[in-house]
Amino acid sequence: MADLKIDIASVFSGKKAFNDAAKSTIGLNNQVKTLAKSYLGLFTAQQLGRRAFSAAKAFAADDKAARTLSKSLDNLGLAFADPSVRTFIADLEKQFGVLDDQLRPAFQRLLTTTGDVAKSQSLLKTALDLSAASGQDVVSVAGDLSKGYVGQTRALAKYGIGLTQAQLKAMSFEEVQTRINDLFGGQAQIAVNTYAGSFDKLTVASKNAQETIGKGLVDALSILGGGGQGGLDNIITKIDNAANAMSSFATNTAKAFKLLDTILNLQFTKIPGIFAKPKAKATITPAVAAELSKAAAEKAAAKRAKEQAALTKKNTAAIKEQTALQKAGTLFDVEQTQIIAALKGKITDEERKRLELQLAILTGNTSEASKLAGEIAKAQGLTSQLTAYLSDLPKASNPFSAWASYLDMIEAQARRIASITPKTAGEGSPVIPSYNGAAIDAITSSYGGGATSVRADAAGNVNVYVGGSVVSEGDLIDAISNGLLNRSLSGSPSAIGRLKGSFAG
Amino acid sequence: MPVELKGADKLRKALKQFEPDLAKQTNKEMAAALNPITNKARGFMPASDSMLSGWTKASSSTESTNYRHFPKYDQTEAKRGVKYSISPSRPNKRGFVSLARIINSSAGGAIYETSGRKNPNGQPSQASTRGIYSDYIDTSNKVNKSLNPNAGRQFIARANALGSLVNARPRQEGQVGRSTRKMTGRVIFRAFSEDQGKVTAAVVKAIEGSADKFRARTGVK
Repeated sequence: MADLKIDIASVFSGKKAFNDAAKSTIGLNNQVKTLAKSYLGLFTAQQLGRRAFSAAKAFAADDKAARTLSKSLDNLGLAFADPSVRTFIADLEKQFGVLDDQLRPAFQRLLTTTGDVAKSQSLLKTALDLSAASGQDVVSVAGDLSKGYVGQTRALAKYGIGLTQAQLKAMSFEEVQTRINDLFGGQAQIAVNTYAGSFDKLTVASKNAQETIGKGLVDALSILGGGGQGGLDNIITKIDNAANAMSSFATNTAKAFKLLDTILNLQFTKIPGIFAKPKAKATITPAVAAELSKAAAEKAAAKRAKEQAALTKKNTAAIKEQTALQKAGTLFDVEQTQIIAALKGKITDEERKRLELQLAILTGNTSEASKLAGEIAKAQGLTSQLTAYLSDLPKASNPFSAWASYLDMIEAQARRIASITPKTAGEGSPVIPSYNGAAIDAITSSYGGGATSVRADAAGNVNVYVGGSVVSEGDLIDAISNGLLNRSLSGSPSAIGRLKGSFAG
Repeated sequence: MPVELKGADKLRKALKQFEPDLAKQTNKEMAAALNPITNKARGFMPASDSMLSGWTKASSSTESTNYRHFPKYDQTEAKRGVKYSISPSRPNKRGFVSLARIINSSAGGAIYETSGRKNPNGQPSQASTRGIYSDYIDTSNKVNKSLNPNAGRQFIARANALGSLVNARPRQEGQVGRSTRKMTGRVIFRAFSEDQGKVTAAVVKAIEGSADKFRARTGVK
């Protein structure tokens, strides 16, 4: 149920909560930073240790792979080719950005299948192209190729070389390899020229660097052990010895402490006074006394300074509290109340800024006051700029300016017309425009001779007399109807062509 | 909206710490301002026997059930629930702390205060919203689940006969925003409306008066 209450007066306390939240956040941030710094040192040491171990491990793995390949060559009677194979793999690694960690196993699989170094090298290049085209790792591709070499071509179909299983079985491996080279030749070289290939090259470089560092570490340990083949064994023996020695040291130390404790107990319990504290002799000389008094004075001075500092701190706190109370008290000033009331009214933005500035000045909020003063000054500057701009605007041409002269002309014409007075009888006969007799004759002749006559009376009026009779519309219709009826009765009926719209009597 | 007095909480803390007698005097003045309106509001609580009889009788199965029954109305209890408080409240979700307030805290009194405020003719019955042949059972509190479809209307009609709903803050001309019915009621809101803001002025005056006295005594400006 909602609270049924009427709040008579309230106060906004949200700011305190916000401040508390801000302080807590800042505190947490600082603590996290400190924690991060603390861990940084430990983390760095751990990382160094891990890196060294990883480097040594990488070197060991690489060395093992190289030795395995050498042994394979040796077993196949191809030991003489070991240097050239190493060079070949190193070159491939640099050229195509593929790690020797992958190239060696791949080459080994091909070598054990083919038993031929040159063929293996050729197939490894094919495997690199196929790997770049298909996205499979080179070891898997080499495995598939080695299977294909011995007739198991099923695995090769997945690379999409456009051959059915039947075709693959029917073709020799050389033909299949030729087909693969035709389809995918140069893919590895193209891949290495891409950004991804560049990244792979960088990876190869970093791995090699790691192996080199690992080799250095192992060599260093070997040197510490006396160098040579047995150096590492020596250092391992020494480490074992050191561990045993530390173990013995810890055990013997504990035994010694135990023995000492026994001895001390015996001395204190059975031979009292043997370790008694000697009595102090009166050996204070005047010089020593002076030094002692000097030290005492310094101590007293330090104590006074400390007290003074505490007092200053207390006074500062009191002043701070007093200021806060003053600030709280000012919230009830009449002036402030008026400003707040005015701010709640409908006012313009500039007026609002001015009122807020006054309020900020009254409450002593200097930062807000300076900010608002700047804004008002800016607004004033903008207003003055606008006034200046408007005053500098050129006078726009008035589109109605020409109208005055036209209106004057019209007025003059009207006056002139109004001033014309017709001539009266005394001033002579008025001028009556004569009619065009030839035109009227032409009109009358068009109606046929005698049909019309035109006469002008003494007053100059033209009268036109039309010959014949004038009938009304109804009489005319009756006359036509009668005429048509008479014609029909006399054997000459009228015919109306509906389609043509013609009328024939 | 209540009157917001900036710094009033700090003032009251300062009074309590530095001028305890002034703090007590302020409280006394605020109480004196709030007491009349509270008494007036208590007077708006109708007698128990004037309510619908079913609302005032205690249910016989109250002790044997494990759910909360619809609260009964009792005039004494309802009057006791109408009170004022001058101790600062906890901040609400918008960060405002109430310094002085009038409360209607009893369940029965609150029901009498607000019944019909949202639905003047009572909540629609289950049958009217879904049809009498519907299998759907609305378990929300939005519908009248009584067997009497006119129960809500009859209840509100009796409450209206005893005291009308008064909006203590009617919508002003030109007022922006949505209107609210949260300040509408028959008891404390009616009393507050009839008070015409005098209690607010008196409380503010008491706080401001104490601020003036505090300044005069301590010399703080």
